[in-house]
Amino acid sequence: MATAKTAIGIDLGTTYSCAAFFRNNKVEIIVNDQGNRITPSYVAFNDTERLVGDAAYNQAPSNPKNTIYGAKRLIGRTFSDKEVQQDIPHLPYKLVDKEGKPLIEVDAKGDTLQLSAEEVASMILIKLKERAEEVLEREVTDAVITVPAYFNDSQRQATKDAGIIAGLNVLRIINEPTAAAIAYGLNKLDDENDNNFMKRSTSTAIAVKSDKSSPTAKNILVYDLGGGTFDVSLLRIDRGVFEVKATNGDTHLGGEDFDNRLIKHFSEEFKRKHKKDVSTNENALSKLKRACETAKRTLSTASQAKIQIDSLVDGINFESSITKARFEELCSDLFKSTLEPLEQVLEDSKIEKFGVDEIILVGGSTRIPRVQKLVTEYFGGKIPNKSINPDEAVAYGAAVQASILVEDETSDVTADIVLVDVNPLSLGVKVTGDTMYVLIHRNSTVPTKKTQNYTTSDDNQEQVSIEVYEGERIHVSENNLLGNFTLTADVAAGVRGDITIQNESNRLTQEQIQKMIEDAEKFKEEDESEAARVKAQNELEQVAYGYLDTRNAREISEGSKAILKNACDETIEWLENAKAADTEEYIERIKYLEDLSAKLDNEGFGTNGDGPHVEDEEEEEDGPVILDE
Amino acid sequence: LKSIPFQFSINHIGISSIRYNSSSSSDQLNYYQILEIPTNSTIKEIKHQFKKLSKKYHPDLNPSLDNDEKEALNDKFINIVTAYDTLKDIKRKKEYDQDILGRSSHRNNYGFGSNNQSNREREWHNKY
Repeated sequence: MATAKTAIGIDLGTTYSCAAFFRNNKVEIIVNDQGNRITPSYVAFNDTERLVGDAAYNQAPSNPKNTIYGAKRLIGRTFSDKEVQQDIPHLPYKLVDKEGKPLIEVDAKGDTLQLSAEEVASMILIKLKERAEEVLEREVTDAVITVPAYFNDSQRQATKDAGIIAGLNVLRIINEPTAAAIAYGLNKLDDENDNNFMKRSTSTAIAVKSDKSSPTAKNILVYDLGGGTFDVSLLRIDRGVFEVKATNGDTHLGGEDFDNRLIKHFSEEFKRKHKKDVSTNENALSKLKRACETAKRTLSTASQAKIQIDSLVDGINFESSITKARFEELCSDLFKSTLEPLEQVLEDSKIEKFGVDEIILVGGSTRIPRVQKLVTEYFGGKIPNKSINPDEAVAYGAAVQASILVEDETSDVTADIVLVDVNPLSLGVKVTGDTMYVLIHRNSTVPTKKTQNYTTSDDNQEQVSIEVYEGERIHVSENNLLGNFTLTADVAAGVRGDITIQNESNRLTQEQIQKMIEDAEKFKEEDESEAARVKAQNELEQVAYGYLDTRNAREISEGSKAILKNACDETIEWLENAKAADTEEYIERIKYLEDLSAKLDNEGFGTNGDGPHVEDEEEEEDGPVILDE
Repeated sequence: LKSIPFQFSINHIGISSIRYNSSSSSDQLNYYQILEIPTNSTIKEIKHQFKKLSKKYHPDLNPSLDNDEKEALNDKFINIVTAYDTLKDIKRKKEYDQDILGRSSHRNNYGFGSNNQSNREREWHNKY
């Protein structure tokens, strides 16, 4: 038991991430060092350090150019991608085109740094991994990471690469709505058994499910609208088998887009009122973004939200408000655009609207009342199930899947669960002209294979290049190129073998990944050395103030007290002036003060006679007792 | 003219392998044999059987196996999925039934009737 590994489940989100693990028959969400159950997917750099998570999020409005968020909207994409180009005007940080890959450029500790989305994602993963290790008190390497179901091959590979850079053994990339369905499925057992499922020996719970409710196999529709992506999946849950029937979505639709609509709305209003342009001012934009996010959240429970920003541009304070109705109108086309994938999923899974037994809402954006209403209306008034936490369900399900995959001590719980997922996009090759010839259709159960004959003439000794694509469009140029392989004379001669696809679009090379792993190590060392520096600084401060406070209570002469006071005063003054000295210097000064203090103790009374002047006669102070250390 | 079989395999991330000129031993078994059920099974029974086999053979459920065993299991599960994929669909099941009842199981390709197949070959060949 003790040797069993604990694998974690990670929901790597566009705006927030969440990690969880399965232990003692239940899922635990990993609370971060700030006490939060979800961690902002933010990374920031300043003159002295790198910040990840809450710390990066909190300083974003004051450091917009060097605060990175939404890397998930870039991962696995090319710079020229329509979605990437669309985002650029909204991004406060700089994006550069490096051999077709979008890189984020920031000023970090005085240097210019270019980071790939994979690297940024890896920094968030490392943060979650390290926290998991603190909580579990053991090394954590195995992880299941979730991705939007509609992520393509490049986006999945890139997410996996981010895991590798973070030093994780990525057991599996699973689809977010599928993970949420697992969370729902297990919670459902809980309800049916009228006890807290996760806290009990669940093998009994599952047995009950198998015997009693086997006729009640259910069709579950998961509607997952998050910070940056949208997914719909339809699953059939039957006796522990979670079979995905169909999936669809939009990998570039979510809360960020609703924020952008609000930002646009208020920018225009500000321009009308004050004739100043916010959109070209990163600092102002960043402040406005934060205010819009808050307003959006407020509008999920209130009918009106106020915006108040001090000194938005040129010292002008901005005050305004927005009604729920206006917000809904601004985003109405975006909300409605979720219905098309919804329709497609029902069509692909050959299940009618009324055949859906349960609708599950996942992702923070499903808190928007209009979104809930839209879904309810679509299903003829059927109210979505609200039993699972929209922020945590995905990580929860990922943790369950992780424990299945490592077969840890909790296997008695998870033994009866299996996930049968599908591929989201059709796979094919390029034929005549620009046409896509589909080999494996979307929503095929995976893993799967398909044998296809390629016909060539006997005398064809030429090398032929075959291009492999994924996507649903008829023309390959509108689909995603996975790569190509070459048909050689050997192949034609009947020799058996394997093909590796060449130049997979814009995937990181082994060398690049290796370099990023080394960089991650370097970042870690820098973080640690910065942490050590701050620690030494705090320690010196404590020692100096401690001696100052406790000196009068000590059995040393008045002269010694004065000497000590002078030394402490001098140190405190130095601390105020030297903002960022080396760790060694702090340590030296700590040692100097401690040595001085010890020396004065040894001298005892009388050696120095009475000091020149003795002020502050505050005795009986209980300062921190650093001396006893 | 010469025909080269290509086998495309995909997993939860994307393409896991492309093999050429390889034949699989399971080609000898028909879909009903793969699913371990009689040929007169109903679609409902087929779906039920697939779930039963998923719980038994899904590669996820046996993480302690070594790599060779895992791959063998993976192949087995892929064959189950392929068989299920055809037999769960009433139209494709009918086509398949006619196909296997009509002639012996000596086939290089599976999943499609012979008419279908020649069309596809033509299509793919067109380009070159």
